[in-house]
Amino acid sequence: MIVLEHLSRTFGPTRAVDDLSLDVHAGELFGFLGPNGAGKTTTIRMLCGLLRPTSGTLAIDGLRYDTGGTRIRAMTGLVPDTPPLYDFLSARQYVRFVGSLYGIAPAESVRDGDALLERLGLADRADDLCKGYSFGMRKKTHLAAVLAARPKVLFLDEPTAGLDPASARLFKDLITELRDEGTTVFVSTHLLETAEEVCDRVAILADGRLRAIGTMDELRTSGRTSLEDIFLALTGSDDVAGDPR
Amino acid sequence: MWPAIRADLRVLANAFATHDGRKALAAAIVGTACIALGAAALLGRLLVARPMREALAQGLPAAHTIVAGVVVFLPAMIAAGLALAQTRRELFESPQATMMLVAPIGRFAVTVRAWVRLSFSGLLFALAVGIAPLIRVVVDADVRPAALACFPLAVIALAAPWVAACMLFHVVRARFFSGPRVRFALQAIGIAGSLGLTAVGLLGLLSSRGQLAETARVLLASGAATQDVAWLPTAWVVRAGGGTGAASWIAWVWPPVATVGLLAIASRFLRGAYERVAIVEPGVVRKRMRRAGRVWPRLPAASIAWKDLCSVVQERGGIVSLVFFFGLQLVLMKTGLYGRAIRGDAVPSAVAHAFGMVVAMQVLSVFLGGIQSLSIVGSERRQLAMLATAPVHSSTVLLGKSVLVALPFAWCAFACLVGGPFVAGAPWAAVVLFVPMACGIILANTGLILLVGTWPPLFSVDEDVPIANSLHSVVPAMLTTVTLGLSIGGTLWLRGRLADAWAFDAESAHAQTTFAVVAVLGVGMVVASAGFALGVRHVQRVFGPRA
Repeated sequence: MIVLEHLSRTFGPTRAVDDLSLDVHAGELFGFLGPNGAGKTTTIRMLCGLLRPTSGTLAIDGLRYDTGGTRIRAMTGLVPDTPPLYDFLSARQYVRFVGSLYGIAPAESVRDGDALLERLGLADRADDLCKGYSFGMRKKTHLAAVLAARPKVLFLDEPTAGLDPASARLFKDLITELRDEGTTVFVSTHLLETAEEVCDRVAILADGRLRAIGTMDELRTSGRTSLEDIFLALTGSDDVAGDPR
Repeated sequence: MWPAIRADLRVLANAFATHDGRKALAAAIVGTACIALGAAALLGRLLVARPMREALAQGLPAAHTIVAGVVVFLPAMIAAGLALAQTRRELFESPQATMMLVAPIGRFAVTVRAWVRLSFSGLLFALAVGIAPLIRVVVDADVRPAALACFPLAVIALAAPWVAACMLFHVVRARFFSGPRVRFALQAIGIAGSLGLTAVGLLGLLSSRGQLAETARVLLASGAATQDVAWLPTAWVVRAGGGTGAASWIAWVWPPVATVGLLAIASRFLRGAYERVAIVEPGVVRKRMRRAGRVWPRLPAASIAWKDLCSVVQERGGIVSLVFFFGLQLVLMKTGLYGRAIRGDAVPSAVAHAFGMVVAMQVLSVFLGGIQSLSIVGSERRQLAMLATAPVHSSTVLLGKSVLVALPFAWCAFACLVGGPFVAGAPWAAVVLFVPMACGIILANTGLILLVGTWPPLFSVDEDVPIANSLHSVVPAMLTTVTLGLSIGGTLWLRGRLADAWAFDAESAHAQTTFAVVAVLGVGMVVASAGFALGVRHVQRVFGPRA
């Protein structure tokens, strides 16, 4: 579903992503791990067509941005680390708005959006202006809006960062369900327990380079049992965080 | 206190060391220079008008005092106004504000640090605005160059207590008057005050050529003594510039004393105010929308437009601004400007009134243009990634955004439509002529802003910086304002041509009037199409993957 071949991106002298090659299968929940500054967000930005690779190619469902940008966008959804809400719209209005951009029929948008807002615990605040929302509420509102657009491929950048344990749990349950329903989920995180718990396969990135990729069992062949041990051994980093849960 | 101020200075120094920092500084310098040139043109026109030059040459003390007052007070007021706009963020909302309040430093130090930051940026801008007209006065009106040296000191001395007073106002307001009704009332007064004063002030400035000289003569004739202003720093600027009149040392003493006093009072209530802002006010902004979002357009362009309309309606300030502009438009139709457009010549009343309504609409459009030029980036900058990753074409987004851009201009046209017959006594035939011309002007203005307001560098400003504070915004705002200003000239030229036609050949004048009305509409359509087409290319660049 997602194929990256020798993907690189430089910012001046800094090589943010360096010769990254990997593929993500359809219906897979793929964890993209790395310490801060490893190049995770840069990779997601390239995957979403916000940033042009310096070299290498990427394809989503066989399509490339230079020829099929709109078709890729129609099948993908992005949940960035900072939710992009409009302060003077309510959550319900925002969900309708995003749905309309993705061509979702109003009736379906209303039905799915309301169900998702209910599921995410926002039903009783869905008519409040987003201006008064907490960070977690904003993040959940944007997730509801993106999910209501029914993307085939979902990109999540640090989805549980800044969320309380209950919300983080809810996020993890939701993305697992999405995977079970056939959605390809690409999760960038530096929370190892999140990845260990829900991801089918993980890739570990450090200094822009791919250090390892595989299922948890494949990564454990080196003798290390926990993802944290594997991560530290591969990245040589102390920059790991425990799951807020 | 000093470590915090040193850190701020370090930030400034670091800006010179990086490419982005140098770019931002260059943009700031170019932007400030543009504003200074604009101010020089406006104030120079007022201060260096022939009657004023004569009054200065005669050494009339009142003339010197008035000139010094204008060139010093105006920048000081600008600095205070800029500080007022930034005070809330600086004191309560910036990440550093919280850090300062939890740090083991005194409240007074926190307040002084904020005052230094607010004064610094405001004063740089204000001095740039004020120095250009002063140079023109020195060069053209035989004023000693020493006035130039005294000028910054006087501006700083006057601005310092004003900035402190603005801070005190914010602190006291937040501490004691943080109820939603008071805040709504203050917001309404703030919008009306800032927009109204600027609009009326600009109009007054443009139409008061020579009036200052007359005021100077009246003051002199009435025996008003310059002794009355000896306690102001402006008296020293007068003396340095070669004028006569008393100047007291007290002028340099009271500003720092007043500043320290005001800051001390502000620091007394600072923590309480912060508590109210951080804890009470966020809860108050909650506003429930009944059945909001039950009805939503299906087409993406309509959806974007509907989203913008919802935002305007749901933001209290949006409605206040629309009501205010409606009132201001009606006021404009009672001024001499409208009267001049309908002056008695061979042009029939309906045609004259139609052009009067168009000019009245265009005058407010000039003012609105500066604001509207930033409306697209202002409302979409933070949502850029979401819009860029959505499967909609750039033209769809721009088509949707054009409604928000056109709305204020259409609102002004509507106010003229109401004001023409009911306020200015225009015949209904004038309304028939006005409507197509107004449509043309709305289209042209919208096209211009779709082009200018999507300028890609506007979207490169850091998200944490309010766009209005970024000097990237100066270029599009000035370009829009100047272009819309020139369009008034075009309308007046057209009216002049029609006056000639009606004076010499009334028979063909009918046809020429019809042609003029259709031409305005046609030009509007052409400008709108061109602006939209180029704007789409801008949006494609903004939405496209960054290189």
